[in-house]
Amino acid sequence: MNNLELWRSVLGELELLISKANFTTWFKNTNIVSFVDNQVVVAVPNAFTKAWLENKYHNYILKALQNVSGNTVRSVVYQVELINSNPSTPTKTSLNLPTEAVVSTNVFGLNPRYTFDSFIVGKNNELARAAALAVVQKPGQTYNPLFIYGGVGLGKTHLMQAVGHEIIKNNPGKRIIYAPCEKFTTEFIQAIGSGKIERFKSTYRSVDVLLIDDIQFLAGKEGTQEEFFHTFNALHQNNKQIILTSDRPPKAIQTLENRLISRFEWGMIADIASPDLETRIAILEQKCQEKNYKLDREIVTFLANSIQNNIRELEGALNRIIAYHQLNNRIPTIDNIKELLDNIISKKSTLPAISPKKIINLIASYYEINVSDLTGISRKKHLVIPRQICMYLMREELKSSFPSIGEELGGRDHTTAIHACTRIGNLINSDTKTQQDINNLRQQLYQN
Amino acid sequence: MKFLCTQDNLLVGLGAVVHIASRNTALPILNNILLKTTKAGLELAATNLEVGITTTVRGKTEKEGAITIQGKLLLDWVNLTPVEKIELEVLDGNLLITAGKRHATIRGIPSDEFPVIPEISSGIKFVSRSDELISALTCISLSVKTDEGRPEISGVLWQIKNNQLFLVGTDSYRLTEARVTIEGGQDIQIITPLKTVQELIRVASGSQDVQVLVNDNQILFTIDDTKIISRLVSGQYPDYQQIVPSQFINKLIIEKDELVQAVRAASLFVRAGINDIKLNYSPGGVVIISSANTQIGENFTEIVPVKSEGEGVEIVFNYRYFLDGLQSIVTSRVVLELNNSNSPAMIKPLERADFYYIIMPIRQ
Repeated sequence: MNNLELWRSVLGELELLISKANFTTWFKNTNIVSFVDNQVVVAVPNAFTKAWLENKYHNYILKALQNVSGNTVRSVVYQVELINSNPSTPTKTSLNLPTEAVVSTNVFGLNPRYTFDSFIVGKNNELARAAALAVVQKPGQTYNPLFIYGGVGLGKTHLMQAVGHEIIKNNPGKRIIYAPCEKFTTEFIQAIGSGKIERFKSTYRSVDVLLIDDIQFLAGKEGTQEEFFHTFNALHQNNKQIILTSDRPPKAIQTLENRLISRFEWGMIADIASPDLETRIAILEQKCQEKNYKLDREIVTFLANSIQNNIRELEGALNRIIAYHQLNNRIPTIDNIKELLDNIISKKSTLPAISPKKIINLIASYYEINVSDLTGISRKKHLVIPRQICMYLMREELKSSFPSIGEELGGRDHTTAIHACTRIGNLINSDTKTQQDINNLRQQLYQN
Repeated sequence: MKFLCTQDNLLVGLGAVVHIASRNTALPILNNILLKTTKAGLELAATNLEVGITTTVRGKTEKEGAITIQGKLLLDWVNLTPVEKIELEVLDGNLLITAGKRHATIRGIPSDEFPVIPEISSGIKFVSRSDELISALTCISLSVKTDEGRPEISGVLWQIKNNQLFLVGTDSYRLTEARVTIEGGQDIQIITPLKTVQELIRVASGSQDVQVLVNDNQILFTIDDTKIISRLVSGQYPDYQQIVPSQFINKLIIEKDELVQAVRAASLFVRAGINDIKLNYSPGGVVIISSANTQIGENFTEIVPVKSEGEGVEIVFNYRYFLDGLQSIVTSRVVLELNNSNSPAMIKPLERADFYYIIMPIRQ
């Protein structure tokens, strides 16, 4: 029996004799450091424990030790020692006082980093940028409203704020408000609560340029939508520029009132797509320059290749590399980086593999119908919609060809599959039920 | 147990110990303080298993014994009784208190469950004047912040070199070093928990001197009849001197009160959460302390330095940290030494070498 086992069995005996509170307080972090010549040395974490064990539990401990070891223990001494620390190698920590960094936003809530100069143009955002520049030239006249949409982290906010900066630069007297949709909503609610709705109205209706970020969050908030509708009209009437961003086109925003949708589509709708490889490389190189950091071309290409859909993620990966470099004080190699970014990059490949069979089974269980009915010939309505959704998902998620989709669903013609995909594609934009169903199905598809 | 003493004596004794008996859910007896009569008087003790405080109350012991009770309750009750004799007696596990026509009974827990406060008999000994030590520690403790991630800088460094005690504290945004003269001692370097220092400041204020005894893992402070014993923080204190700039480009001597007022005025206009004030000095000119918040407004104060030299600088500070440093200065004029907007600045008293305060600027 070694010291560790000995002490464990002693503790087991003591636990029965002492109340739980006392036991955990006094015997936590204790152990036997040596057992020589019938004498046991017990290490304790602090002097309070030492004093207490010596004065209070000494007899219990000695007796338990004798029981367990078969009377070989004659005496016990206690010594204060930190178990978890390693005293032989005191770690030399350095102290560096960091300066506090503050990214300040300016008067209008615009981030000074988001300017046209730092906006990198690629095929994906040419149109949006051109529209934004046109707005800068003649605010309120060319494209009003300017509606920018696109996926997460592709530069919508950047572009919008760049317009803000540029307009101020050209006309310093202009009044600009930049607000995320959520801020607009909260301020509106607060204004109602405190009875200062007039003030709220006059603030938003007296501006020259109104920038609202993430307008899709207006969905479902009827009161705010109405207020926004009136604000919008008031500004538009007076040729004041409005710029909105969203993660999807106006039509696809659920529960947005039609009169708002039509107004959003009034001016110019520009989308920002995922950047292509060259643009991503250019972005990375600019970020490196901003951060004053040099990165191998090889690594830049690797990063740009592995992270395709999100610029924010790209910057995150770069930050991680820089932090790694600073921490370890050596330049990361491509292998280091692969390891470092493992969980970012491999996230996509670890998604469960999906097959046409899986989609069919999922649809069948989701709509509670038989697989044979789904692939069968019946054209009853409760079967047709699931069948079409099934085809749509195969097309969207698996990128299957139309003939093969038809084949999977009971040997149908490829034109049937084309029709199904177009139909569901349209239905998503007009029918919320279908859209919800498809969102749920997608989630379930990727969950297990 | 039966004991007689004056309200005054009891109040002082209780005041020294009750603070440390904090909420401890694991071991309820730690919420209590120990009362124990010996021939020397009434012994009071409290501990949180990190720091232990014991003190003796002068009085007449009629019967020896012991009990533990809620110290805060007894203190509050004694505070409300007028100055007269107080009698304490233990009866059936309760503490009976009588002060003239006032009576109270406090339920107790038997004393044999109460932890033994450890003692140190040998180690490195030194003595310091209380007022000097307390004022140094008060300044130091302002700079220390408890951070479980970095235990070694969550405490105060005590370093003895050539019969001088250097006290250091930092929260990594600012750093304070104070020097105190001591008698005795030898070269050591230890770290005490912040809590211990705070208790020491409370107990030792108003006393003559503090006797200190240090061994491998404990430190004992003796202040008259009161003893504070505490564990030491294990770990190596970082080499703090490396961040202290060896020379400065700009040196300003300014009336302290004038500067404090200017910083306070500027603090009204800082941006919430950033607390930034700007200090601007152009060679041979005035020092301008300013701040601006787009929603509230802005302000600036011009100060003519008593003496100035250097190339000029514009630097931004967190006003709280800046004010903490200024208020630690005991002289009526302060010395402000600055390099550029990104490197640490130093605040120190005029013509005294026993104190300095390093503050990091806010990078823009």
